[in-house]
Amino acid sequence: MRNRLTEALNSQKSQKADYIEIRLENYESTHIRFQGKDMEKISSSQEMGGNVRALVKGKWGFVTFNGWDDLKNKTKQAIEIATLIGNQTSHLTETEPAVEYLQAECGRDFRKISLKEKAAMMKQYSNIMINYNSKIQSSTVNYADRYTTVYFANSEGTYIQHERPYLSVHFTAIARNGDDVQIAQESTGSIKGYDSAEQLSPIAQKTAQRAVNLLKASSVQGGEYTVILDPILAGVFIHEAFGHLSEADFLYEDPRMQSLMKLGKRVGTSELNVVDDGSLPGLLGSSKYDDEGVLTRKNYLIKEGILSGRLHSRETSARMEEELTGNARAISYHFKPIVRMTNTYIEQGKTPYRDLFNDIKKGIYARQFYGGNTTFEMYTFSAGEGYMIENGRITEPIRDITLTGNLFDTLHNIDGIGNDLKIIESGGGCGKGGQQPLPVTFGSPHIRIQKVIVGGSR
Amino acid sequence: MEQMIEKIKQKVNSGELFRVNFKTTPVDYEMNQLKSINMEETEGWALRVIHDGKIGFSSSTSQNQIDGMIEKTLEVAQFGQVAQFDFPGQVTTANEEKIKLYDEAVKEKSIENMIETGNEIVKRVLSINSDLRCDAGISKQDGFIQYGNTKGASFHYKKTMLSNSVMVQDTKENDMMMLMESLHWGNADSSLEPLWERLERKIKWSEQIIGMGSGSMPVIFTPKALLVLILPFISGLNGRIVNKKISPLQDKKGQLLCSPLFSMYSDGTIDYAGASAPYDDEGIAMQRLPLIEKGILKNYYYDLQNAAEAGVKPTGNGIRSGFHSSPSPGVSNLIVSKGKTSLNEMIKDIKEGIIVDQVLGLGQGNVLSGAFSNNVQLGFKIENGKVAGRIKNVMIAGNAFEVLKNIVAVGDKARWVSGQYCFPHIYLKSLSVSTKQ
Repeated sequence: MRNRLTEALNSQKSQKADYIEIRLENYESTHIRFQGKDMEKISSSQEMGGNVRALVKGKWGFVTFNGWDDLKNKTKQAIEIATLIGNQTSHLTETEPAVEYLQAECGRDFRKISLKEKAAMMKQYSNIMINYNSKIQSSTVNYADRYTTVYFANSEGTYIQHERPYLSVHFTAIARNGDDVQIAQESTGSIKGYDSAEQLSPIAQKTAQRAVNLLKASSVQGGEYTVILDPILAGVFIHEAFGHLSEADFLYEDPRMQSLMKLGKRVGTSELNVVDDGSLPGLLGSSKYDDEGVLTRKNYLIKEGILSGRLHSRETSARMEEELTGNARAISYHFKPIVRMTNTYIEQGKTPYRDLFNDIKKGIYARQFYGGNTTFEMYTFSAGEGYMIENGRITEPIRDITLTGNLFDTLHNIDGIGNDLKIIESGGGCGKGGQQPLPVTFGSPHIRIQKVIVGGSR
Repeated sequence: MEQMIEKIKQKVNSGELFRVNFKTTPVDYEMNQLKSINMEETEGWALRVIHDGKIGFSSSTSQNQIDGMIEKTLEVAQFGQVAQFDFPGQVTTANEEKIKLYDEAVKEKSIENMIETGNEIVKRVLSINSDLRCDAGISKQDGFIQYGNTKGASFHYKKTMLSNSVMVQDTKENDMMMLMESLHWGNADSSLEPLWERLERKIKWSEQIIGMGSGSMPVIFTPKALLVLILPFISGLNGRIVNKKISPLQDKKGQLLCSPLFSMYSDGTIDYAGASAPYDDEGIAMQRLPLIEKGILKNYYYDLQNAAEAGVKPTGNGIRSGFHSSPSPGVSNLIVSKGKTSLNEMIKDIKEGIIVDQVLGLGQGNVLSGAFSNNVQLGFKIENGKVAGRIKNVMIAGNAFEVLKNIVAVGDKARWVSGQYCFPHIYLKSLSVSTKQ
């Protein structure tokens, strides 16, 4: 394969491309969905495709295709369309060419597990949920596995062949009481093989329990509150509200945005540290190299409350004259690598998390998540469950909790960080530029934030 | 395809083959500059079989894999869902001739011509205010969709789509205004003028930031924002959700659900609209299906399997979200009927209220229950019958099934959003609005 890619790259040497890369990919996948006691969908897919990305005088040409034929011609096409618009100097930070054959480091290979065994396991989970309580109207278990091999080569001599197993299980429980329909969701994702799909019965149980509990919860009253976020929601917050702003591709050409995200700016208390680290072993967002063949590493985004780094591709790194971070990622061959997070978390603080509740007269304890979204300084995310806090104690269950605000105000308003850091491997993923769901992890200890706006319908 | 169908016939009880081929060419602008050109080609094949009464599905990117696909589907069919239907023996030909989907001019559009359009978009945005940041995308697509089954039905059609989208951003110290507008259509004839009109109006309304208090107040949803209130209906009217008894709208056919001012259709027969096609993705003719008429629930929408399970006729709503997915109930184009009131009349009618144009967190939360809670990413305050300025840090919340009972007026013009939704402005009597104190 290496020869094939090198040949295609070399065939266009006479053309005036500043940089060319070819990515080929094939995968096999299985998908199983149980709805209640019944198997609703089961399918098996295989896909083969690739892309060529060429940089000519500062502009990109990008060609994607299915099948692996005619790579020379595809390469030529990419150069041609880039040449049509190239009109400036290309900037890419240099990186050491790498040649690597990376095997998957997983336990049991899910390709060797029979459909029968997978289906039986998911049926067991589905039964746990549907049988939990008569209020459970419906439940869904979604199982997906995908074994991908990526072949990457560029015109600078890098060749990386990488096996990437990925597996996820999603649980949804729907509880109903008359017209009141409540949903709870849990999921898990992993790059460690089939072992991670086993022993999920407690999660199935918890999903059903949460859905039923939501029926008893009342809608939150809109307003401004002191909130405590559990590690999941705090992790989503730091990923959505802050992490995306650290992605240099949205600001490298925008001087005003850069001044707002100027390194050295104080954004929080000295207890606040935020990290993105793609080099952590075995997590969903982990990989030795990013999708431009750059080594991943630990990057501090906020250190002791000071904005101290951001995430880069080779192009944004060159344009902003900052070091490479290994954060160019592409979800598949359909897409160009763009700047993405990997494993993003708030570092451990010192406060035992129970102490964060002390002194809160009226607040909200928000847990779990439905989803989150951000555009620059504005963020919004929804909690999967929550409770009122009154005089330091957790009281009535509440629901339909959506938190929103201005990121910078919110970061400054984090006035308590627990000592219970947890990294979350969910089966969902991050979305950006149509590339969704990209496997990432996020994490945090419990945190306390003052003055958060909560939307509510009463 | 015929040979492949023959092969399938030999191995399985009955089966259908679905193929797509899409060629897409997007030209992208970032920060007022042409950034990249892509050429994307997708080829996909999907095989669905019914064997020993059970459904199996497999997909591949190559027709050379047909033997492997047959084997895979037979393997998964052992565990598959029990089929309540069989594939159609024929398709009606009428729709194929009736609906216009393909424009040679889109396919033949040159990259140079797309660059010209992009340059014009950037130039016009900067002429409004040279400090603005503009990202734009011009994209053309031509597609070929083919279907055949072992019962003898087959069809194929071609389809084009031209998209122009623009994102305008105005960044100041600790404030950012972001405005998105787009036009998607199947032929090359549509003018960019309506896009300018909207952009210019909203940029003007955005110049001044204005504070406001929390409370219940009148709210106007623009066509672009209306999906917030429509999403719960899309899921609640889905035949699969109804069959599972988790829809709050089940058993409500014939009942008055919303204001009599509100009517909504799923219609896949509109020339050049984004979700139009002669047939849905399992060979059932697309149609204009009333979902809600004058506030009364008329129909749920179905694919073959779920229609059979419910004991009703399929509605032509068997949609695949990509060739990797087997069909399930989905809306085609969604049309909310226009009313009689102009946007200006609505604004004039409001003493204190807001216009919601873009939200953050669409579809986030418990959509099925009807609950929504969104940050107003772009919205405007109305004071004494006039737009007073742009609002920030504001959330709206409510239950879509409840709030659509209290429509004051429906806009007298409807427009296409994302090429698939044709919505008017909707003016609600009262909605809960929360803001920073």
